[in-house]
Amino acid sequence: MNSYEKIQKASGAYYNRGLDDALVHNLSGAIMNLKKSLHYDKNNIEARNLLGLCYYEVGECILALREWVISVNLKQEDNPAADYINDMKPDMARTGKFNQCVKKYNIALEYANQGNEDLAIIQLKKVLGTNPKFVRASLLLGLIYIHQGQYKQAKAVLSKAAKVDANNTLLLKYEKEAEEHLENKKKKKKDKEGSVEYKSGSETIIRPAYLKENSTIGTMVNIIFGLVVGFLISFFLVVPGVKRSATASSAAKLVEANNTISTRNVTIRNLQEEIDALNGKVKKAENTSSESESNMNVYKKLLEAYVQYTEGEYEKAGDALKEVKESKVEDDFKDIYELLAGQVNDKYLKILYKRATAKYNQGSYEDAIEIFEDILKIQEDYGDGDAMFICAHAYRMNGDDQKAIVLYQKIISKYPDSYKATNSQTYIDQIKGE
Amino acid sequence: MIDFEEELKKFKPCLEVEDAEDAIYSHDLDDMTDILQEMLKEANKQRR
Repeated sequence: MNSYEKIQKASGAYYNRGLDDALVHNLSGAIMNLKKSLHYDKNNIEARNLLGLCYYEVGECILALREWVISVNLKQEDNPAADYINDMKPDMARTGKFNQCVKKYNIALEYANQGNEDLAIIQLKKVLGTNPKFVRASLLLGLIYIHQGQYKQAKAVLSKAAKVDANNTLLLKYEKEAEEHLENKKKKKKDKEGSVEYKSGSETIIRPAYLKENSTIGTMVNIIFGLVVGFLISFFLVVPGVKRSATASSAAKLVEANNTISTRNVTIRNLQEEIDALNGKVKKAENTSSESESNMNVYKKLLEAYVQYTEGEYEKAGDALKEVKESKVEDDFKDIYELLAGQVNDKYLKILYKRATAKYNQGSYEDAIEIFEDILKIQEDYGDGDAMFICAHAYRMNGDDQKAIVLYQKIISKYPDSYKATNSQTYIDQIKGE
Repeated sequence: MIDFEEELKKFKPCLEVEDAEDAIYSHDLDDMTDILQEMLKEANKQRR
């Protein structure tokens, strides 16, 4: 066996060791042996590929890539390293999973060096969330947890990492440290709750550090004490809370009710305003309607008067015309009205006057008054005050002295030099004298 | 008892994708055969 063969054999031997280590997940040991194998023979492709796989497994992707790239360069055909490279290409992109992990790990390391351990923990948790097999990140996280005294968390992280790389020296060291601290804690806890040992003669007696009182009275006292404490707690803590919540609830309900009432009031007010507005409109419409109705009546009566007049029924024409108020007649019809009134009233008043005097003479004063009032409405000074004069007599005879006096005074003022004035004064005196 | 500061010094930043090329080119590939060949060359030179 020449020297070259010896070297190759040594390389093969280290490869075998590395392979054995890798099979039992002792990846640190495997990496060490495979590196030695490659120191002996750089062309040992199996060793190089396996080294790449070991690096990949512990999350050292760039180192894995390096080994596989060299491997492919040394042996281009039938080399599985080419497939490994192809498989990991997407994750190795700038925005890929591994590159992001590496960047975050580096940031976390920077934070740890600056003393920002909490930020470092956050970053490392993100890293391990993406790649749980990243041993270096687990180690750093474990170390920081230990430094912070969070030994349970440290132990958990390191235990997970141990499943990837079982014999990593740093990992074992940190795990031991965490375990020791946890043990110490347990011991201290036990000491606190611990028992007391003492010797009585030749016997060793062990009893709890504190002895429980087991007597019936003690139990009763404890129960009563518990009840009292419970009552006090409920009285001072629970009851006020319940009261407060009830008060708050009723206050909230009151506010809500007030809000509802005010909203309703506003609605009612709005509706009332609407009703008022509508009532106003209705009234206006009614007025307009009644006004137009009365206007219509005016023209109806005017027409009726005209018809009766043309038929020679002067009394009926006068009756119709009597109901037409001059003020209601529009300007366009005023001429017609005046013309008609001029022709009708003359004859109509004659008829009325005749009838009224007849009634007066018959002693039917009420009927006479009614007719005279119509005459006076149409023409107050009809017959040079005769209508007024006889109407006053009719009032007087009918017992309506006040109206009689009014008419007599009117006659005196309008016809002061006439016999009617003299007589009127006599009648006034007579009435007043009575 | 672990010295945190000392332990932290053991952690080095990871190589990023941008550093992959350098990592490959700067990797020392010499193996035992290369060293032996170098030694033989030197020995031959000395003999001459």
